[in-house]
Amino acid sequence: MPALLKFVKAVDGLSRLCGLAANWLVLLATLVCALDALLRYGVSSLLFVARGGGIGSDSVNWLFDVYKENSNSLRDLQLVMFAGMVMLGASWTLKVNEHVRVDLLYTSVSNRTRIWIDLFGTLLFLIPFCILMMALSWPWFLQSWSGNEMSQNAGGMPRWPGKLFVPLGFALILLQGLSEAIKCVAALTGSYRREHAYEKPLQ
Amino acid sequence: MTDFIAHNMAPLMFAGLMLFMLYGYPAAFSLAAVGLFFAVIGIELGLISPDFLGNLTFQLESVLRNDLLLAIPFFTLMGAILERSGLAEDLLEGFGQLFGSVRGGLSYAVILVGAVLGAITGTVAASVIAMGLISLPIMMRYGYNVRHATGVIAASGTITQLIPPSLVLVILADQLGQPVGEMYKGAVGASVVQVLLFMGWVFILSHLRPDHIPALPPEARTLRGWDLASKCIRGMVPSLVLIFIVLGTIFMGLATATEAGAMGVLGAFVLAKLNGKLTWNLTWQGMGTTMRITAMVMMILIGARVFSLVFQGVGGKEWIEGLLTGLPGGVVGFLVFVNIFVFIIAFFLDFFEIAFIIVPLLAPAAEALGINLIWFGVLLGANMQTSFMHPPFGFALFYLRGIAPPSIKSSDIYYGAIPWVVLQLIMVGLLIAFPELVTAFLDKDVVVDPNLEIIVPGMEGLDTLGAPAIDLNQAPSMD
Repeated sequence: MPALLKFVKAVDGLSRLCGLAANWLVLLATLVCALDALLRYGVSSLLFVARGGGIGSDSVNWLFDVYKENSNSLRDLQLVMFAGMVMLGASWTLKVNEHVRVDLLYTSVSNRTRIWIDLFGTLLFLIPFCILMMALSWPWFLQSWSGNEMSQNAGGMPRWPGKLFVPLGFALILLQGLSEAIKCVAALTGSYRREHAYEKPLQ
Repeated sequence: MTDFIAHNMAPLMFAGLMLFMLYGYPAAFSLAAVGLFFAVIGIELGLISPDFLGNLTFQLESVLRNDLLLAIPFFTLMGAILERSGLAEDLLEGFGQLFGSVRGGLSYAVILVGAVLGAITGTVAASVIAMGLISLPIMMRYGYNVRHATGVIAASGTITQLIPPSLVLVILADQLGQPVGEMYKGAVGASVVQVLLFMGWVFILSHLRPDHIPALPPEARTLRGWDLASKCIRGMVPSLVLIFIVLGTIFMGLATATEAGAMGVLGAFVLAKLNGKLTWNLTWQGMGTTMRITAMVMMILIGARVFSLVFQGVGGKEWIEGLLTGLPGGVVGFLVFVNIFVFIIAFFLDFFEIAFIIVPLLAPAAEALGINLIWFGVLLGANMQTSFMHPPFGFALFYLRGIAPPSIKSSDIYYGAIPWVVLQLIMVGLLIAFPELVTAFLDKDVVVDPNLEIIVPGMEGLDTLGAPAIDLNQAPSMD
């Protein structure tokens, strides 16, 4: 058991780190998206003013070109960050028990029954799902990586970083699921107390 | 036996969905498990081919590379920051004093502030918590009926889900494959009517039960003249600026809903900073909450995709369509049935689950009947307000419970919500009876393309922001 609890601690720590990264991605994605929008307003109004003022369009067109070549990178970057915040954050969300449940039964049964529900749910629902998703998304990622697949948006980013988050994220959820299952067994057989009681997530 | 199963896979799978969900494990994984369980049976029975699940990777594409769904974290973060930016305080104090001398004045103030906050943010939590913290104690102090006070606050906070820019409408637009800008336009009329309905109810109460909603005594109306005006201005000016940044830019076609959400976050930061409320702690907490909600919602969506892929593979779409289009009463019969169904299912599933599981099943049937999907979406949006107002997923009520003093009983909060749920249902009825409430606000033939091309000729092709509309109906074929 001590070895297993060591595993639990390591996995919880890993999920926490990934959760922290996902937190940062929320703020970064917001800033990138806002920057993207501001740049578009800025470049557009500058062009508008320049053309209205009869300034030779050559003097501003380079600006437009720079923007045009890079704006899709910004857009792709947001989407990669979005995939990152979801896939890196899901395991930590599982750790703090904030995945929403249909809790009609769950809230009306004893604490011990809840542990059993979680144990069986993890083994029968969560783990097969994670394994399937990893099995499906890993070749999907590899194909994109080896083929150097690019975004369909002109001047966009390669596609593999966003795809990499999927098998990675499901591997993290799988590990966290194992950790939760061990906690359930420890709570059923010993004196281990699970720290995160289920509460409905804010919305 | 095998024959029976093979011929009734879709209904059996639907029943399985109910069972797996009721089991009480997190919905995202239960949904996926139903899908996998029935996929195995389907493959065994030869209904779907073994590599059918490979189509899931295409589904992942549309879930995780989706411009529209990126609005979820932005609107959530904006709500989390605004919640504690001091904006609601200024608005409520100003409006409360302004209407204080009228019977039910505080209720009118709460409804109007709820509408203003609704036009700025897209999440219920921010409005309900802010209004509950500020207005509930004042209403209690001056003898408002407890049930009325909690009800009006919960309902006025919930209206955020109907007033653009609302997260509910973003997700419905995504699931129905409609442009979100049109969805927002379509919801304008409905929002106004809903606000008027709420205020009308307060007006009726002020004659039926004047003792439940007394006017403020003169000594409570401390702000007068210039002080009062400046308080109202302090609340309204930043509100109008934020409404312009978020909603204005969407309606003018300058920005997508997603970009407007990100700009709104910046606006919320600036406002919180100006009010001296911006701290790193607040920002960090907002980021954390936002991350967890986004991850939770998106995992439900991924799980729902596993379910619906298999459900369609075993003929679920045809089954549901046959059931729904065969209803007596044509379009009206369908809408009445669907709305009653959604109202009831909201006692079992929360909003996101309804949007991701139920709506994709309803949409093809609605389309087959020739129903305008924008109208249909606004209708569902109005209906889903009720799911925030009753147990077990009544989020508005939970928030209120979380911040209300212990002296207010939970049963008061629950009973207090009833008249407002009825008003929301009246709204649904009005929308069914008068589709013009929605369609009159839509452009007849122009499809909104939120780009700047109109202003700057020569920029065409620069960006095609339109999120690829996800259409569950077009799940990859089975072979």
